[in-house]
Amino acid sequence: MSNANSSATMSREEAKRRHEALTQLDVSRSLRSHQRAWFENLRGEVFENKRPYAIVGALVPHEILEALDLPFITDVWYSGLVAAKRQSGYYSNFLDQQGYHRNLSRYAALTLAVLLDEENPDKPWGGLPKPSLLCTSINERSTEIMSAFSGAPFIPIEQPVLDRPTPEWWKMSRWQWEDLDGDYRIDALVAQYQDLIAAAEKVAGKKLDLDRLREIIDRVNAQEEFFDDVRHIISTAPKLPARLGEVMGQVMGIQWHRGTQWAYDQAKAFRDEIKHRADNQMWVCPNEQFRLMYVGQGLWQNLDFFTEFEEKYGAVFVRSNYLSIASDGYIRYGGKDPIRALASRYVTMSEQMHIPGLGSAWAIDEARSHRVVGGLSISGWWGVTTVNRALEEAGIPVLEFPVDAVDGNTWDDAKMRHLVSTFIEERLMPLKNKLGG
Amino acid sequence: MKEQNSASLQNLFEHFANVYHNRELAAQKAHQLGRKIIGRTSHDIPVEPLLAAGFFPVLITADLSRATPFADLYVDPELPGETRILFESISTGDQAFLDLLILARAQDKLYYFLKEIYRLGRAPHMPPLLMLDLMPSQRDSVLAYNRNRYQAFLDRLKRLSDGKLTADSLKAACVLTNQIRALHRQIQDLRFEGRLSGSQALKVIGAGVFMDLSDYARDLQQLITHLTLRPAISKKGSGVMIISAEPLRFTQLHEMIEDVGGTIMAEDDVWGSRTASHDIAADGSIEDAIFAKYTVHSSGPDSFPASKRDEFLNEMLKREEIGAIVFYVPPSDRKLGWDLPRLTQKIEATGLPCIKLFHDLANPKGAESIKSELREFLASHHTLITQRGA
Repeated sequence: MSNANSSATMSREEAKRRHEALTQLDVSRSLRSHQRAWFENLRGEVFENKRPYAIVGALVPHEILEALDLPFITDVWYSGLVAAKRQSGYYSNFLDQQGYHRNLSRYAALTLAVLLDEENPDKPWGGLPKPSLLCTSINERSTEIMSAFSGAPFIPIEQPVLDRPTPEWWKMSRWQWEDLDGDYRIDALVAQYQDLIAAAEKVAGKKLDLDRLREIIDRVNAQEEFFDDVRHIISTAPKLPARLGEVMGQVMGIQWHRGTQWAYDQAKAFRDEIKHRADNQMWVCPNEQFRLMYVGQGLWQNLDFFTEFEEKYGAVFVRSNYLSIASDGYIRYGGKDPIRALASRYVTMSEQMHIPGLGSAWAIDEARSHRVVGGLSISGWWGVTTVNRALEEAGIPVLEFPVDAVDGNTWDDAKMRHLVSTFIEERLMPLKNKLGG
Repeated sequence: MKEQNSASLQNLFEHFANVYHNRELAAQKAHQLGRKIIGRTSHDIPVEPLLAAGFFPVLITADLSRATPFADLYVDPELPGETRILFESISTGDQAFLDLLILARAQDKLYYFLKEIYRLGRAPHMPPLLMLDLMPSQRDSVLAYNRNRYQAFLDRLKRLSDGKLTADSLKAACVLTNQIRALHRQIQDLRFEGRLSGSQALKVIGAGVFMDLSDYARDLQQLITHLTLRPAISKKGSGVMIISAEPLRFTQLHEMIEDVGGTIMAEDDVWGSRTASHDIAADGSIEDAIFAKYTVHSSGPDSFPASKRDEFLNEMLKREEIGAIVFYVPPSDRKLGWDLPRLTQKIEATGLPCIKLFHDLANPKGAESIKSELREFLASHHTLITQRGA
């Protein structure tokens, strides 16, 4: 091993130790051990026993596959796995060599790269067997290539445009979703979901049981209600009871398994632990002075970075999109048709955080309910300029953080520390003084 | 006689070029004369119902030289320059003369930004907006949605048209646009014969989305009459076809290829050869026939599956006049690149050479690199070098 690699490994080890030392929640540990066990099981079932499986996008109704007991892998999740194995560079180059130029998004396409790379013996967890079904957004052109390569049918999903935007969408999304989303837009997804169901039934070898699907949707609602409780506790407690990095990791770790009994139980345990910490005044930073929010993406590449500002300035991060969209974006009550409820859940999923007007109204509401004094915004997602501007106009200063959310190559530690310190000292402190502490 | 024909041709080319370069001028003049004007941001928006409803339709395009100080406050730098420029011009009132502006699915983000800036009260001179969302996959499962959206579009026009939009007026509009399609097919044939250059063709075809269509049909017919008097000069395998990741809204790439001696006979683009498409069916329901033309019977860069996107290329590869393919894939590309290896394989199987241009034409250094790559490519395939004066 070269010195460079050796020091990189030491630095990763150091980061791991530091992360472990900063871990406050028991559920963080139980989440990690479940993820290991779940992936071991998936490997056994799919990679070794060659059970048919699907590759799907993040905004596809996983609940349908869950109800059919059809194993599936989410393309962006798998791309993340490749990156975690530090093979994203190799596979990005591999796509280049295959003629797919570098400006094409690699976000979900590393899955394609691993599939195409048949000769390489050193693939993450032995590589991917050919899938039996593919379902992603129609905009993911790499999925068409996976389909041609594997022979698996591709069911594309086309999202209808939101022609009548409602800025305060979260006030209608739980019960008035038919009015909010528009029946013609919901119909458009229902029709496409019927294609997915027919194809998935064929692969799974059984018919979809609508009662089982309804149970799963209800379980997702219940899981998201626990997340809603967590958000409420965090926003109303005198001080922050859990670090945002752990909260984000917990939320996303559970969301990938939404609809399962494990996800429900884990979300409940998460809620209970946060409540326990708040009830017992177990604060992250007893000297809490500044409450900040992530606007848009989280800093996944360095979730522990902000902890040093707790001690120096009493600054804590209390809010991210990930927890808040879990309660505001997913919950769908009422309605007798579970497929319509699912269609409504996904018809604007994720876009409501970006679309001008919707994203900004939500960010301002969240900032106020969380008593936030400043935001940190990581560039690279569309709509961010309008959201940042709206927050600034609402009196909430925003630091535009010039890094990639996941690519560690964009990180300059000294520069980032300086940026955050300057932001707190020059923009937040005067504001706090002006408001009388 | 020959000189007279040449002078008339020159005048007609200049006329079309003038309309092509001064894109909203004809619509603004019509507005001053009291006509109602409807803007559309895409060729995918059916023009026949706009004509039938008595409106003057005009395509709204981005002026790439326009500064965007207002748009920079709201629109993310990562979004295409076209989105920012259109936002700037529409929100600051450049298109206030429009009675309605219709946006297509591909401009969903522009639509969202415009809706928001209007809601905030910061774009009081913006025209009313309508989103026409036609999903491109043409699968049975999206048919009902597309029909629903198409019907909502017709209903809005009917309300605006004071009863003028009827089956008869739609039929009359289709007669006119079918006549233009037939003329475009003739223009395409004349290109294969080498009677007009690619950049001339692009301006002649492009002018049609900016001017009164009855005038356009008349002028185009005149041009074709004069062009047929010119001698045919093309040879087998002497023409280039362009496949571009960006719509060919302007003629820079054509002019550059012609500068280094190439002849562009076709482009897989709605601003060029794709306009030479088949007619709208005259039998049955006219509303259904227009819907079919713009959905199930159309194909383009967003069509699904890939075989649908390839239909036009497949047709062109059968033409013996086409001798090479030029791919333009600038850094902004997020789609065509996924098809490149497959398309390259398909083209190479026919024995035709192809070149991929990855630099950005809008950047002076990129343009220089493109020119040099093109020169080298054409020089290595000498059958492609032809020169013709205007």
